[in-house]
Amino acid sequence: MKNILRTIALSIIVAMAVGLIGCTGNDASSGSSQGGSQAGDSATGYNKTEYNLVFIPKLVHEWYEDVKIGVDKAVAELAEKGITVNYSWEPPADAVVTEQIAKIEAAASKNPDGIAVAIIDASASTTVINELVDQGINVTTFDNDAPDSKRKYYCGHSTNYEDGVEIAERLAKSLNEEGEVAILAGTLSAINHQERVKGFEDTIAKYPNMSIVDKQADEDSIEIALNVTEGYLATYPNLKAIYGVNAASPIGAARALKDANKAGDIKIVGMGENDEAMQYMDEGTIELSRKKDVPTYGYNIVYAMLEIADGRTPAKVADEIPAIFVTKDNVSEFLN
Amino acid sequence: MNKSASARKRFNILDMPTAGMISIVLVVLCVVVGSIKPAFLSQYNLTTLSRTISFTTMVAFGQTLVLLTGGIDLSVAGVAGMSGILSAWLMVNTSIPWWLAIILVLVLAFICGSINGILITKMNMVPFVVTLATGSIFTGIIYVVTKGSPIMGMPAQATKLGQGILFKVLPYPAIAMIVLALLGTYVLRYTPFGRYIYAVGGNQNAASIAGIKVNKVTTMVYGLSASMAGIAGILMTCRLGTAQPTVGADWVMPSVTAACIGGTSLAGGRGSIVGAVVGGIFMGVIQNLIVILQISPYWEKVITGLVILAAIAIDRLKAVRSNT
Repeated sequence: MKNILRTIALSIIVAMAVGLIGCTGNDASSGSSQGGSQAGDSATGYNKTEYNLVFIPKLVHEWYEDVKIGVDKAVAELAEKGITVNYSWEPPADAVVTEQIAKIEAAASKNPDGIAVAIIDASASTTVINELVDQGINVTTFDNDAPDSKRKYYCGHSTNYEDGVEIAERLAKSLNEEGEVAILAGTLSAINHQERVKGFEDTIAKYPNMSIVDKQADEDSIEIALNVTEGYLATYPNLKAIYGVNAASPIGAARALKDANKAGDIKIVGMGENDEAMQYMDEGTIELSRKKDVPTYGYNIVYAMLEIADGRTPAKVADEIPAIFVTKDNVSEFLN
Repeated sequence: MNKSASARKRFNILDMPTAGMISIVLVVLCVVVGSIKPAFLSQYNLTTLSRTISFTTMVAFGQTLVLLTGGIDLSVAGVAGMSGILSAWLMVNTSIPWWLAIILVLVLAFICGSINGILITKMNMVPFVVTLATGSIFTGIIYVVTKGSPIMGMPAQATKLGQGILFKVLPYPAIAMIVLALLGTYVLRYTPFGRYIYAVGGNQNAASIAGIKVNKVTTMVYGLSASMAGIAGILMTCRLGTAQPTVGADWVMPSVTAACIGGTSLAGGRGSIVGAVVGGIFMGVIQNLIVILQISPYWEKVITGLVILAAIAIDRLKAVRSNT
C-alpha cells in the first residue's frame, strides 16, 4: 500500500514539474529569439528586426487585458513593417509588491529589450528599477508610475485628484448643487483611490447645500461595495448620489440600487470602466463614468520601448493619456 | 457544603452554551443600535442584511464540519469562486440548462473537496497545507477560465436564485442558509454520521477502535465543506448577476471566525451548526453597523478585530471557569 502511495506521490510531482515546464512556453515568442537581430535596418526605421519585451501588470485582472489589446495592435502594425515583437505577459497572481519585484528581476535575467511595469508601490520598486536601469535594462512604467525612479518612460493617467474634482463638478451640476452624497472609497492603501476621494471631497465642500454623509472602503470588491451601498440606502433616505472611486464600486452600487428599485433615483458616478459598467450606463443605472483610454497605454508603450531599445528618447517621457467622460449619450461607442 | 451546592445551582450566564451567550449579546446590541438608529431595524436593512450574511455563513457550515474533525479547510475561497465561474461559464457557453449546470458544478465541488479529504487521510498530509495548496489550484482555475474578466449574460432564471426575495421579506440565499442550517443540525445531532464526526474530532484513535471508518468520514466532511462553499459561490454569482473572478476570495477567515465565535473549537470535537449561524449573524451585523453608525473606515478593521476578540473571549471565560 505504502509503495503504491509513494508511486502516486512521485508521479504527481513529476507531472507537476512537466506541467511547469510546459506552462513556461506561453511567452508569445515565435521562432528563435536571438538569431533574428540585424543591425541598422533603415527601411523600417528601427535598428533591429526583432525585439523582446516583457509586461508586468499589477495582477491578473480584466482591466489589463485592455492594455493587451493596445499592445497586440502595435505588435500587429509592426509585423506588417517586417518587425517582429515578441512579448511575454507576466502579472503576479495578486497585487503584492514583493511578488511583482520578483517578476521584474526574473524578467531582467532574460535580458529583454524592454520591461514595462504597472507599479504596485513606487516606494518599494524604485530601488529595483534603478538597479536594473544602471545595468542597462530599459525599464518603463505604465498605468501607475514610479516617478522618482530612473524609469525611461511612463504612460498612463495619473491626474487622480483632478478626476475627483471633475466628477464632483459634473455631479453638482446634475443635482442642481444640492443633496446628500455617499462615497465608496476603494482600498484605503491605494494612493490613487484616496486622491480621487480627496478631489471629490474638496470640490463638494464648495457647495453649501451639498454634503458627504459617509465614506466607506470597498476593498475593490463588488460584493463589499454592494453591501456597503445597501447600508447607505438603509441609513440615508435622502441620499441623492453615490461616488465610486474604482472600477468595482459603481457596479456594486448599481446592483444594490436595482434591487432596491432606486435605479435612476440615486445617481451613481465614478470610475466604472468595464463592459458591465457600460451596460449599467446604457440602461441608466450609472449616470457618469470616467473611463481611461487603456488600450492606448499598451499601444504607446510598445513603440516607446522600441525607441528606447534603439537608443533614442521617446517624444514624451511622461505620457499622460486623458480619460474620457462616458454618459448615456456616448456609451454606445463603448458597448460590445 | 450546602452553601456551595446552592451556589452551583444558581443560574449563571456562563453556564449557557457559547452560541446562546453570543445571541444575547447580539440581541442587546441590535436593540441598542435600533433605538439610536431606527434605520438599522428597517425591513429593507434586515432583508438585505440577511442576504449578506447568508453567503459566508453557508461556507461556515462546511467549515464547522471540518473543524469538528480537528481539521481546517482553507480551500473554500477557491472552491466558491471556481464554482461560481464554472457554473456561469456552462450556462453562457453551452446549451446545458442552468439548473443542470449548477448540479454538475456542485458534484465537481464535492469531488474537489473529497480530493482534499483523500490527500489528508490516505497520504497523511496536514489539512492546513493540503487545502492551502488545492485552494491555490482552484483559484488558479478561475484565472485560466476568465483571464480576470467577469462572465456576463447569465440566464434570468439562474440570477433569480440569488436576487429573488420571498414575499419581499426573505431573500432566496437566506432561505438556502436556513434550510442548510436545519439539515446540518439534523445530521449532526440525530444521525450516526453526525456522531462519527464528533467522535473523529474528539479522539481519532478511539473512534477508529470503536469501528468508525475515520478516513471515510473525514473525506466525506471535506467533500461537504466544498459543496457548501460551492453553493455559496454559485448563489453569490447569481446574486451579482455576473460571474466575478473575485467571488469568495475573502471568505476563508470569516468562515473560520464565524464558527469560532459560535463556540466551535479549532481543536475539534466541539461545536455546532447553530453556532456558525450565530457567529455569521454576529459578524454580518458588525459589518453593517460600521456603515449604519458611520464609523470611520480607517478604524473599521481595528473595531472588527476587537469585537471578534471579545466574542471569543466569552468562550474562553467559560473554559477557564469549567476547569476550576
